[in-house]
Formats: sequence, structure tokens, C-alpha cells
Amino acid sequence: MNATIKNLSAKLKKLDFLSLVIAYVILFIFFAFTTQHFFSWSNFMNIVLYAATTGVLACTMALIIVSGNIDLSIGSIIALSGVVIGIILQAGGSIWLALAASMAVAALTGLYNGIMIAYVKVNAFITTLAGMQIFRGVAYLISDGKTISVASSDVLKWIGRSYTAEIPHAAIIMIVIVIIFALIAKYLAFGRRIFVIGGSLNAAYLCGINVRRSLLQLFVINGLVCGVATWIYCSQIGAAMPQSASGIEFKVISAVILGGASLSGGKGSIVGAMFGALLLGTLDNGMTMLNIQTFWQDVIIGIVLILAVVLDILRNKKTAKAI
Amino acid sequence: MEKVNVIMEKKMILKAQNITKSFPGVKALSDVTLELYSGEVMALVGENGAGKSTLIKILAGAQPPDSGTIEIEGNTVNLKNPTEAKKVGISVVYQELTFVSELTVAENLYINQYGLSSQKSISWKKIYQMAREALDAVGLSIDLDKKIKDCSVAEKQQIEIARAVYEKAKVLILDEPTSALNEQEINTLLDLVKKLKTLGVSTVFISHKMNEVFAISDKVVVLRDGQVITTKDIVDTNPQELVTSMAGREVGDMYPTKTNTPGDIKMSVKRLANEYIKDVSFDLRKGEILGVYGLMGSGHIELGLSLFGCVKKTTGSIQMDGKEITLKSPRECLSHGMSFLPSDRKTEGLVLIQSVQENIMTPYYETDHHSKIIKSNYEKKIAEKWIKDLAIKTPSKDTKAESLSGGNQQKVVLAKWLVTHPQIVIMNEPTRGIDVGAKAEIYKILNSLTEEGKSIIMITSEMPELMAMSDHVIVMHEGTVTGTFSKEEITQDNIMSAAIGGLNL
Repeated sequence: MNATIKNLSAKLKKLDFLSLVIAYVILFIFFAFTTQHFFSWSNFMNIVLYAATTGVLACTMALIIVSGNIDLSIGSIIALSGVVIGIILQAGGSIWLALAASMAVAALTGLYNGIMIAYVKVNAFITTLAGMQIFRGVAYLISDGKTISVASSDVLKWIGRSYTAEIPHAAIIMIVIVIIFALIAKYLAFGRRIFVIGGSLNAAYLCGINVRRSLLQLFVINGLVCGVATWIYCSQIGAAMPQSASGIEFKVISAVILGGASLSGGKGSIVGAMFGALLLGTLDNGMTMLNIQTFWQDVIIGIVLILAVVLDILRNKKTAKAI
Repeated sequence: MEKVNVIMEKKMILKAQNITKSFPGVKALSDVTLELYSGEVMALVGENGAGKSTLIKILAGAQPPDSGTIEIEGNTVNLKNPTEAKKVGISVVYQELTFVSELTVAENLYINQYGLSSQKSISWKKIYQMAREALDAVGLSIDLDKKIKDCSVAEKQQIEIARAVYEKAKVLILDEPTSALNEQEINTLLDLVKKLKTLGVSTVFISHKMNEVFAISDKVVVLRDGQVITTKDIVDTNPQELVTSMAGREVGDMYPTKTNTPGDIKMSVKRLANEYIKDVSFDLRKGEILGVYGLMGSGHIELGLSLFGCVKKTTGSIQMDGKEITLKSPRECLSHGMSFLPSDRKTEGLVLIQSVQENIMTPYYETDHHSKIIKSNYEKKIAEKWIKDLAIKTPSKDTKAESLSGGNQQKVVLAKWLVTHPQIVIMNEPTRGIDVGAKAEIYKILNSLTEEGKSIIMITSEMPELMAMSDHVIVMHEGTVTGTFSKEEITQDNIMSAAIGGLNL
């Protein structure tokens, strides 16, 4: 008994996102006691529903940050591929065609990002900063700046706004994608390569890893995941708009960093990133219940992010000294 | 007339007495004593690892000695840091030069004044005035508005020297200043050093090239294994004598008795060339260690990188088992059964923040015939096997590579390649920076690898390991092979003569 506890605590100590889990538990207890409606199944599901888009996007963002890169263009990719859904539906096309086309567009943006970063060797920050402008600009161009309602589609409704056994489908999609990427990170050579590339680019190259191809694959996969996020997002908003998902990249990056990733690469966790997304969702939800002004909510989320990183720095210093 | 002047003013500028410095496992310097007079050029020679770099670092204030004293013009000084050393007049021109490459020549000449507390605002007039004075003093003319990044290595060196002289350096240390220069630039530099003599500035000149040493030095100091072997006026010695005293050393007993028997030719390299190497040819046999030796900058390191596809060849051919192959990338080399131990294990060999197991398993998935799905139990078995076989001292397979000692880290790098069952292992400085005990273990592993019929290309700057471990040696100098020696011909004099490009001046 004692041994298993010891074992468990040893495992916990190794967890990269330990501070996050602790913060999450504290936050949970705090909200449970200070608000009336927080502690209920339907509210938990609300939180997950709210966090699903961020959680899905955080999976590949985590891998991108682990590889030592970043993607600022994901919000614009969602806007663009969302507009594609809207236009096809408006023109009378089938929802399946619309979904496939939005996925294809998202994958193409990922391919473009990947080629620029891995083969042309433009810095990822610059590439995706430009991509952020380009993709959203194109979204405005092809939609003529107009909002297109997609609320009438049953398939979209099923994806983002329906429940099975009191569990929202968006939550199920998020969990499935998190599991898939957690498995990829741990059990596929592809995932391992991403960690080696981020840990030491030179070592990766000298190990025979095809760095360029791995990064290209990663960005294309990120495009595909953005496609899934687009479906959930459009469904939940009920509309395709060129201004969709603006600023979501910062929320996703925050979630990944909260989840124990380091912007210098080599370190990060998919499950941690999901917890990061949930924490941000919970914070939003609880603060709204406490009637905290939205402006204050921004300040508090910023403080939580910086606190998490500072805590991690302090923790790392301690372990460094212990060695 | 000038000469008489110099001799008349001859006074002691720098005196280093009984300098001793140890690092874990090595005595880098023991009881080194030097005397340098004003306007004198002292050549400091010795093979790699003789202690030259450590000595320079101590004189430059970058490292404190364990014991010993340094006097400047008779006053004992305590050089806590490079700034302090500069203040008393010791200035080092490093191999990697220290400039801000986006700023102009003028600003870089002036740059040390920015740090002065009296400096509050910037007067561009003053900057140019000072820069011009500095260049004029040593008789140089370089465009002041040129950015440093557009200057040649030679120009950068000249600027660095001008800056040091302007800042009243009494002793200038030139660390292998000619290794990256062409003939004409070398002559300019040697003229500059002669000019410094007339200004009363003393120079410590580190070089592997005997013709330069004999062209400008007044005296020469030979270092070996951290000791001063001999100090001679240049007129009283000759290149042959210097080479013998640089090399003469006993081989210790940390080397195993070699039990391998070289077999057929495994790989044959013909007239390989690229931007770093020229016309390199050699044969590598099964079950042998081919030693590759060269002094700093000779291209021996780049040869290793070229053979592993990191630097592409421009001409030449490589045959493996009689078949023509290309070496376009490390990945391709891996598929030919080659592997590579880089010289810097911390940045190139390992991912320090990953576990021993993860590091050991990295190249495994890059070989063609292995599944790309990771099986934890299988990984664990392989990792544990190699930890045991190579006697890697680690608390567990899950320990991060960064917390292992240098020798054990090197064994992890070795293990990760042996997992791929290579037929040829290229090693760049396989025992650099690891202690004697771990070295002996690595040599034992190398011997057993050759016993199994694997071929090893051991690129090294360490003469003793080269001599003890190689079955066959090639020596490089300025990018070309200047000597190929069979087991019987491997002698210190042969190798050292080839490494300095022959004894003919």
C-alpha cells in the first residue's frame, strides 16, 4: 500500500504539468464553494463543450511547439475553411461536400505553412504571422465580408451542439483526438521524431531523421485538425464568418504552455495541453458565474498563464539543484 | 638602428611563474613558467591538448590558475576576468573573433568605449577620429563605414589587433591567427606583427606552421602535456628539433591489446573533394580502425562530416563493397550501414532533456527495416541490454541524459548507433573531454567492435590514442592527405611531420 503511494507520488513528481493539475484542483474547489451552479454535471459538460475547439487545436499546437516552432495562423485557417462551408451550403451544395472541402482547404493551408517553414526555411513565427493575414484576407474576399448562416444543417448540429447520454459530441470528438495524438506522441516514430527535432535539431539530423519531411507532415496534420476544429466552431456559432476564431491562437498557445510545454522546444504534453484548455474553459465559466467583468477575466487569465510558467521555472531550478 | 633600439629597451613585460591548472581527471598545466620581454615575439607550439588553450585562457583572465603568479612589468596581478587582463595590458585575438557583425568597422573599433561609465552620449565625430587613429597607428587602411559582416577574416583580425593596440595592450596573444588566411593575408599579418615589435608591443604567437614560427619569432616555447618541454631562441633551433620535442611522449597503458584482424576492403574513397577538403583518398578494411589525424583546421573534422553526408562532395567517388554509393544525407548513410559519433555529444550526439532509453532508440526508427510503431517492452529490453553491455552508469534507463557524466553520455551515443548494427562507425573525437577510466572502457569497446568485423574511422586530435588504436593512419594538412601510414610506419615523428605539412620550409 505504502509502496504504491510512493510509486504514485514519484510518477506525479515527474509529470511536466504538475503545477497545472494542482492549480486546476484548487480552482475547481474554489468555484464549487463560491458559486451555486458550478458543481453540476450539466455545467461540467458546458465547460467541456466550450473548451472543445481549444482542446482539439491544442493537440497539434503542442506538437508544433515541441518541435520548436509555432503556428499563429490557426484562427485564420478556421475562418477561411468555415467560410468555405458557408459558401457551399449557400450555393446548394451538400453538407458532406462542404465538410470535405473545408477539410481540404485547411489541409492546404497547413501544406503551405509546412513548405514555407520546412523547405523554404522561413521562420515559423513569420510564416504563420503572414499566413494569419493571408488566410483571413482570403476569407473576407470570398465571403465578401458577409456572415452566412449554417444553423440549419443537421449534420453540423450533430457535431457541435448535440448530446449522446448527456455527453456533448464535441467533447467526445475532443477526447478521441486527444487520445489519438497522445498515442501518436508516445507510440509512433513520427511523434518521437518531433521531440528529438525540438530537443536538438543537430542531433535529429545526424540521427538520420528527415527533419524537413517530419515538419511538413506535422503542419499538414495541423491543418487537418484545424478542419475538425472548424466543424465544431461553425456548428457552435451556427454561422460561417470571416471574422471567426480571431485570437484563438493565443488561447491555444496558452493552453499548451499551461500544459507544460516550453517555447524553446523539446518539451510538452498532449494531455497536459488538454488540461490547459480545460483550465482556461473552467476559469471562463467560473468567473462568468461569479459575475466578474470580462475585462477582469482577461487580466486574470493572463496572470494565471504567467504564474504557471514562473512556477515551472522555480520547480526546474529546484530539480536542477537536486542533481 | 631600429634593432639597436629594441634591444636597448628590452625589459620584462610579462612573467608567468609556476602556473598549474587541473581539471577533473587531467592536469592541463603543471609548473609552466614564461618570460616575455617588450617588443618580443614568442612562438608557443605544441600538439592539440598540450595545454596551449588553457594557458591562454589563464593569461586572458578567462580562467584562474590553481597556483602560480603572473607579473606585469614586475607587479603581481590578479586576473579575475578578461576585462581585468585587458586593463593590465594583455589582449587576446581569438580564433572566433569578437565583433558585432551588423555594426561598422568604426563602431566596432570604438565599441569598448561604450562600456565606460563616462560615456553618456555618442559623438560620431569622436568615433571616427578614434577609429582612424587606431588604424593609422598600426599602418592599416580599411574602409571605416564597411560593416563587419562584409569584412574578410583577415581584416577582422587586423581590426582586432588595431583595437587592442589602441587600448594600450602590452602583450598581444594571437591564437592560431593564420589558420583561416590565404598566403597574401598571412604575409600582411606577419608584417603587422613585425610592426608591433617596433611599437614595443610583445606578441605571443600560437601556430602549427613552422615556416611562420621561424619567420617572425624571437624565441619559441614547446608545450607538451601541460609542461614546458623547452624554451629556445629561434636562432638556436630547427624545425626537426621542435617537432621531436612536440611529439615525444610515452604511451600509457590505458589501451587494450588489439585483437582484431583487418580483412577485405569495405569502403574505398577516391579523390573526395568539397569546400573543406581536397583530393582525399583512402581504403577502409573490414575489422580495422583507420585513424585520421590533423591539427586544428586541417580539415580532418570536416572529412568526418563529409563521409556522413553533412557536407556534400563536389567531386570524387565512394565505393562500398565494390559498389558505387552516394552520401547525400545522414539518412542515406544510415541506410548504407554507417553511423557517426559527433565531436560535440551535448549538442549533436544527444537530446539532453530526453531519457537514456529515448536517446538510445532514436536512430533505430530511421533505418529502413524497422517498424515505425513503438513497442515499450521491446524498447526497454534493447535499452537495458546496451546499458549492461557498454556498462553505462546510470540510475535507470529513464534518467535524463543530461545528468550522466561525460564518459557515460558518450557511451549512450555509442549505444544508440550500435542499435542500428552499423558496419562502419565514424567517430569524431571519440574520447574528447572524458576521464581516463571512461576512455579506457571506450577503447575496449572499439577493440571488440573491430573484432566483430566492424570498421571504424577514428578522427582524433589526440596523438596517443591515434597511435595505440589505429591499424592504419591518414594525416591531413590544409584539407589534403599529407601522409598515409601502415601499422609499422605509425611513429610520432612521421605523423607530426605530415600534420605540419612536411619539414621543407
